Amino acid sequence: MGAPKKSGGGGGGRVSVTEDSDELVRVPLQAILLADSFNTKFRPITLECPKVLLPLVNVPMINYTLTWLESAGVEDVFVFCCAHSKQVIDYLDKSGWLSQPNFSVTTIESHNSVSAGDALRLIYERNVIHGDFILISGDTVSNMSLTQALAEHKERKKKDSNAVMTMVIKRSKTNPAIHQSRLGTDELFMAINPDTKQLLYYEERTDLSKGIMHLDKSFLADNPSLTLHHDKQDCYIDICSPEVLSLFTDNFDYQHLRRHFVKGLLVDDIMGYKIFVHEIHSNYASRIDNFRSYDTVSRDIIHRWTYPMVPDVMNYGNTATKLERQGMYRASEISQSQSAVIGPFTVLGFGTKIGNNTIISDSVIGKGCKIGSNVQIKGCYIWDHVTIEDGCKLNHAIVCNEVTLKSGAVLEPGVILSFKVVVGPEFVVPPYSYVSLLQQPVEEDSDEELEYADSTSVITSKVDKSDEEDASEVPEARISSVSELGMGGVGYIWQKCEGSQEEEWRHSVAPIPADKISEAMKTMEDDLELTHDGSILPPSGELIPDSNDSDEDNEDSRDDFFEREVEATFLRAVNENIQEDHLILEVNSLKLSCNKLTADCAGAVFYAMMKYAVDTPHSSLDGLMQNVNDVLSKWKKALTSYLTDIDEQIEIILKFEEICLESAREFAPLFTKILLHLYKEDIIEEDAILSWEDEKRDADEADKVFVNKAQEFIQWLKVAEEEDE
Amino acid sequence: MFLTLGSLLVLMKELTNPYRPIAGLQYLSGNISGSNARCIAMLQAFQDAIRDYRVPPEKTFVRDLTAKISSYVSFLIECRPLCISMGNAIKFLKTRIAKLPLTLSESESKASLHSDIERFINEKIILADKVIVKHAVTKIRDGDVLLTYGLSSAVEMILLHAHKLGKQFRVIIVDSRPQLRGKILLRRLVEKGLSCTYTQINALSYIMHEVTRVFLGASSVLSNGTVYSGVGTACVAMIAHSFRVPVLVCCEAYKFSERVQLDSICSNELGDPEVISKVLGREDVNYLDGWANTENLQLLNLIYDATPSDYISMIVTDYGMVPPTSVPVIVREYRREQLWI
Repeated sequence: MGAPKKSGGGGGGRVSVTEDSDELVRVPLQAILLADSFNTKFRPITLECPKVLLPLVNVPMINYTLTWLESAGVEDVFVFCCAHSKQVIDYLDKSGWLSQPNFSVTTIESHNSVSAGDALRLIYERNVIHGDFILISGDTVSNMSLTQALAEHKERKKKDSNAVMTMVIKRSKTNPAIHQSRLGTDELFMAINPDTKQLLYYEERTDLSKGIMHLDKSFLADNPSLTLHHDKQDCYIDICSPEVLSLFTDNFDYQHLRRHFVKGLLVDDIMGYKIFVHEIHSNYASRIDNFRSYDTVSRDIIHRWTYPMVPDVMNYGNTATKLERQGMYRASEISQSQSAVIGPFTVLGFGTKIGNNTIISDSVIGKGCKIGSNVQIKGCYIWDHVTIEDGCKLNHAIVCNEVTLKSGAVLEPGVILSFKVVVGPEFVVPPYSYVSLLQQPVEEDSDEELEYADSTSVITSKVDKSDEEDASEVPEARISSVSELGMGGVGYIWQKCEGSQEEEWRHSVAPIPADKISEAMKTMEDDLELTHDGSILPPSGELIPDSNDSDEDNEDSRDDFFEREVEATFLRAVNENIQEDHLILEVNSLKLSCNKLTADCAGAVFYAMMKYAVDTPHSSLDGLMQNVNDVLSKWKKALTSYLTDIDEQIEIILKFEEICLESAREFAPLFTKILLHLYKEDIIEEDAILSWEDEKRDADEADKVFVNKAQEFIQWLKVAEEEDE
Repeated sequence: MFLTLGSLLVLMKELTNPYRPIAGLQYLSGNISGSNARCIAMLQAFQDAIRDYRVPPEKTFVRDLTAKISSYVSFLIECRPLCISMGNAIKFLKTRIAKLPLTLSESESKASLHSDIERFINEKIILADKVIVKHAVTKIRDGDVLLTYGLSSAVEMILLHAHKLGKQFRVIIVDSRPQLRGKILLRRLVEKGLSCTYTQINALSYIMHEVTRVFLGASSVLSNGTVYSGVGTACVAMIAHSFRVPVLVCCEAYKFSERVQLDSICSNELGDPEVISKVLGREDVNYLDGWANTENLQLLNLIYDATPSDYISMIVTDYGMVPPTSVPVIVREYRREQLWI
């Protein structure tokens, strides 16, 4: 614990220097490695062993991550341990990571963090991070070079201090039929600005209701170009600025890195923090999130996509492994029967014994395993010191340390056997079942692992001690499980909870069943057909409501827009005392941009005037009349410039009618008066009024309310006309 | 070797037929490659040309059409030298024109030529491939590791058909720069679910240990049994021979030639030297930039090479599976028949 304090103390000074001159003082590249997944996807195994220590092709996962960090030029790594922290720290100590020259690994222990958010808040409190850092979890396998991504991040940071994070993404290999990533993760939808590489949208979802995503309109307005991706995979390697940590502290409700933090930043536009992506093409980077990705990444390692992180180069504590033809890796001291067939892409660990006529293909076998005769193993991950007796059949299963399979036992695809389980003879473990010595915890809570951390370590140690003498706990388990795992079997088969039943094929080590593929194929075809029918619109989110409606609505909304704009222009003219000529000019340009007629302009300007008159404070109808008079006399020119024709004048009367009926009923009693005023001011000529009346003659009674009101005035006009003659 | 745009435009003006330059341009850009594809494209272009052909006054149909075809062929040669299969096809067409009865009217002659070309494409290329696939599949057994080089349409069909029959085998695709056409084959096979290994020709001697059979395509088989094929084929065949791995060459009989060639230098096609000075996807490898200005340096990009018959175990053709020594027999016996189609 001395190390972090020291660097923390020294760091205080260093930070102030770096703020002054970024270039002058070189801050060692730091990394935060979360040695806890904060989820339960690797249960039941993670009840007894931390996820980062699970062997991946016979090497504990954390070695891949640490080796990569070291090779990528990171000098300072903080390993955050939570669940089973003791085991992680012991392992790091034993394996020599803690005493590497030029590569300092410091552990930070916590027992009350339940999420990545908590972890980062704790690290912030420790004040150990002084510059840009890599945020990574301890289950990541990569061989990418960070140089370019870091340079890009720094460059962006210099230009825009809000660019706080760079995410590494990679094109994912998916099965086109089922749109399912090889990693068994959720569907990932992203929107990226192709020029700046800014991440604009990030959504993960489990359901396969593909095709429809909802984007905010402002994305399209703000970004001249935008690419939507469904083919990218998040590598969970983030280059972060120190601000990220303080952001976590400020937002105490951020728990999950992606669901809360990334989405939070993307939604929040007040602070304006930005996230960018860096896409890698030829390098490898992938995170082991569930059993399926465990399977996929193991295969990738065996197929050497992760070079130099391959079994024959990386051997931590293992004896040297030799690569033979067709992806066969063999450690030393293997005793193998002449008649055994070891297929391609198989890894055999140190000191393993294989009996007669056994067939092994596409599998990883750990140290000191004893495999009997006539055993068939396909696509399995068998860890250390496992005993498999004669005639067993294993198909796409994970078998943890010290498991015993009695003769003739069968593991169906997707089975997970946790530590020290014993499967009875001739027993068939049903597909996708999880078997553990520990009872299934009752509550489903993500911080469960923590609580179990202490109790399980006790249990395992007890089991160690009491291997021979059978302490109180173990026989209990044995008695109760005779029925569950056959004669002499030890362990509990976990019950599946409701939701997982459907999802199990997605996350399992077993390959996707053929019927699921054909099912998905079918739904996709159905979807395609629907699209051809036109009943499902292309994935465009916001566009759907618009395009579902008819054209008229569009027309209406444009009308509204024009009127609002004219009104706003008019109000500005009034408030800022803009000259009439300029107002006319602006309205004219609006007219052109919205493709409107002069009549529309007249109507809109008149509407704006009336609106203004109403909105100006007034006490009575007289006051309102006075307002109208003021406005009309002041802005008469603006209005008359559009009233070149009788049609426009009629338009104004119609508009006025509309105002009285709808928006400002206060005008209704004043209708005749204002009409008279308009006539007197020479805004409206008598011809217009007469033809308006003419137009209304055949209309409904309801429409004629105002014509009737103005009847007196019209009569007077008519009389005056006759008199003139 | 390659035309400049200017001379091409002149040519296009000279050629009254609008269809002709298209096939030529496609050869030039490499859009159509592979001798079967090139041959079919050429024959179809000829079909169009004959359909649109009008006999000028004062000229006879047969004489003038032959001259016309010759001018088209010389245009094609200017775009890219003909491969032997195309030469054979042209020879066939010219014979058919010469053999046209004088009594036929113009439209009847055209119809007859049209159906002749159609039949040539169907029988000599498409059906022949089917027969080759049928023969070759019998040589693939469960557990085989098959090696192929580059991209050959016949080999591709054989592998896919064997996979469809449910045979359990593995494919090793060997490829070489600059064309890397093996990648096309790799993509197609992987999509169909075959288990593939892809490697470059420099790893050949390592990978040959595992191989049980080598399948190769050919541009032509000469009458001394020499296989004339994409550059690198000879190397693959020789290494396979030294490892005692049988080498099967798949070649339609219409590609057989009466020519005899002992090495690949005396007659070959020269590719663009620029492409071998560059490495795809590696801009940093630029040691040969500006090589054209270096006086004592010349780059040689050969397209074909010749594999001596000693290294060939068997030639799979539409007349059956024959040893390379039997090629002259097929050429002698069937050539006559082919001319009479």
